[in-house]
Amino acid sequence: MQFIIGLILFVVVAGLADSGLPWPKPTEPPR
Amino acid sequence: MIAGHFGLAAAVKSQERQVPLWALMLGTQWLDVLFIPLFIMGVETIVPAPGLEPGYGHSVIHADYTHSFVGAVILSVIYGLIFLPSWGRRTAIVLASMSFSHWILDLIVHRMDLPWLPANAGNLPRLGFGLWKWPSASALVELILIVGGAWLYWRAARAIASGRGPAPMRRADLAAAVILVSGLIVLGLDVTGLVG
Repeated sequence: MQFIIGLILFVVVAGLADSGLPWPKPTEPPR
Repeated sequence: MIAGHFGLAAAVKSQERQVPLWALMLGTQWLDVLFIPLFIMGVETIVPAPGLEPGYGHSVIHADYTHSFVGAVILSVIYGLIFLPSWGRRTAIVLASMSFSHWILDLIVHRMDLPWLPANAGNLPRLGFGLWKWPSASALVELILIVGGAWLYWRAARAIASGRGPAPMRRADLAAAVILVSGLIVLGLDVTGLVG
């Protein structure tokens, strides 16, 4: 059960929080 | 180990900033995601180590397909290939490596239950350094991965947000806080067994 909770928290919640940041696009070279 | 894998993914994000965090988080658990249907079907199993009750670090995991060395390599390559067409070679390699890092961390904690080949073909000696025999040490390693990963992520996120006003900086703080708190919650649940 903690595995499912972890997936939801990290993939969905943290993923959403992260998506609003101005990171480079996946196809761009790292900076 | 659950939370520690996520902590490592957060640390990788700080270095490979072009890779979306969700893909790293999913990648670091890709082998366990595929383990679930095989577990439900009874193909792969979890049993307590001899003489122990179920609990944190007490398991012997017979994941002979998803967590065999060769199986993990194949599944990790597949995970990278999923993203290759849309996100390019470098990001695909990072994501494949992220997936295989799961096997490396598992190698450190598992109790010699990881086979070289799928279905343990050839009955080769199983692998696992057995840090789970010392649950406090294993939990400490996970805690270091979570705190270290969240801290590295926070530094990178604030660097990428700097000079763009207060809103992106707050967003960076929020995302790092979500990672840290989520890691502490998952580690706490894993160690205490509160939710089974």
